[in-house]
Amino acid sequence: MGVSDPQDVNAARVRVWDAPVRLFHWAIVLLIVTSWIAADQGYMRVHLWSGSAMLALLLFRITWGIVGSSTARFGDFVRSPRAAFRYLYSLGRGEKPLHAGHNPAGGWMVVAFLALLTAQVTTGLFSNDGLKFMGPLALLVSADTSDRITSLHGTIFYCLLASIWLHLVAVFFYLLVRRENLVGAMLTGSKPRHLVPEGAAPRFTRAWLAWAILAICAGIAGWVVRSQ
Amino acid sequence: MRNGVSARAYFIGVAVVSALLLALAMALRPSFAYAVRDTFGLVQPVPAAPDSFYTTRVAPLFAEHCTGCHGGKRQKGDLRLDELAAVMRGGKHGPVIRAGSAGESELVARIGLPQTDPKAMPPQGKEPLSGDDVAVVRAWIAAGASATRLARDIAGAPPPVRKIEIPVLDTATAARERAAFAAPLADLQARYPGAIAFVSRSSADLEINASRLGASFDDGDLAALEPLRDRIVRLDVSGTRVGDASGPALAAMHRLQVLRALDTGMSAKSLAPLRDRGTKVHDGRF
Repeated sequence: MGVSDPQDVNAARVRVWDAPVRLFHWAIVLLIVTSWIAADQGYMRVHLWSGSAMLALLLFRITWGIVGSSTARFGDFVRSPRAAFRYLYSLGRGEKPLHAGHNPAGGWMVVAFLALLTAQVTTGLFSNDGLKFMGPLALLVSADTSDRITSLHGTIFYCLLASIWLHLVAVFFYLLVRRENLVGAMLTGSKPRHLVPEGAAPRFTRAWLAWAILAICAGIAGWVVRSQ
Repeated sequence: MRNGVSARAYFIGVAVVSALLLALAMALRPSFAYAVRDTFGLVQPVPAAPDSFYTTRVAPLFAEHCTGCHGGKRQKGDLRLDELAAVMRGGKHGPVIRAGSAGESELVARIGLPQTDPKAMPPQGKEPLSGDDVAVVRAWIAAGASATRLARDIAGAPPPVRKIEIPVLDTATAARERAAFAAPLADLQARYPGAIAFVSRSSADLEINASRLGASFDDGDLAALEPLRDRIVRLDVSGTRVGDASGPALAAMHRLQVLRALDTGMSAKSLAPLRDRGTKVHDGRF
């Protein structure tokens, strides 16, 4: 039994995530780990390139959230805070509300991650390590401002770690309590039919558009990083 | 489909794992442990005595060479050297000081490396510590990295270097300063001919040689120099009748650098405060 068109009610699994969303997710995981280790060990060139790649991916993901597949779009998963709390409340009561893409609480987690990562990458551009490394745009601000931004860069990282921990707690909650494998879905792109609301039919944007947008975003990121 | 674990059991597990991870992070990163304890007000401050060797000799070196990157503004390697508790705590890889063993202290190793070494501190491009500076830090750690021990208790530390600032030749400023006390100076020069002179043409500081007046110069005459007290840097009262009664007048000459007082009535006790504040006193006693 394979993955099929969401309209195919006989298929065992339903495709919910497109390849660009999944690649973005796992690439960001890899880049966060790389950036952390590189900064910790003083490999600042690696940290720079890792951060630059993250900048390109963030630009891409924000654009893809507007023009991409339906489950990738902000309009699809960003609901009101009240909806998010209602969703969490229903989870607490043992109900099993179904969503093809991000649930209302997960949608806010995505927004928080994108905001934190954007803040982290932006502050990184203006940071310095006090030794031999300066972010690509650090010379655009005074040394004091760069120092303050560097301090903020470190603080945001701890917020990011806390968010990652919260995300993992949620993922394992679904796996162990609700028996729903979100990691598998983010790897394969599909969910079992019974975990997708009846009648849900995600629409997928063509892959070539994703590649074209990614190339443009990579160009913009490269221009920003090399502009000084 | 099998039932999952209960939500209650899951969140208890999350709490346990979170606590274990926090404990692990605190064990592996002393600086993180310090930050956590600091957040909850559990850090015991390590006050350094104001006259301790650490405060007078070591902390100024850290302030001059280290705290730009390891201070309140920035903590490279999670290391702070602007406060003794933080110095003793160390950085992200643990303590940088091993009290009593300078040879095993990472901090001593780093500041002693040649500037070309990538691990040298301060790094290449920043002003390195001098050999004497390194010796001061080494001696402090070897003596136990104490917060209270005085300079005399620290063996092997080089004597402090006295920084002397040489003022730029500025005759206009000197003339302006001289004008401020020109009238009393003229009176006193008339009263004590040949005894009062400026130390140089570009200075408003005074040198007074009362020894040429001999026994005619006494405590009353020294007191008469009061209008010039802020300008007197050298004074010779050898062979005069100046005695212990002049102690307060001499003490008021706060810029006095050299005092010659051979064959006077001044006791060692009355001259001791001058010596303590750094005035060079030549009174024939050792």
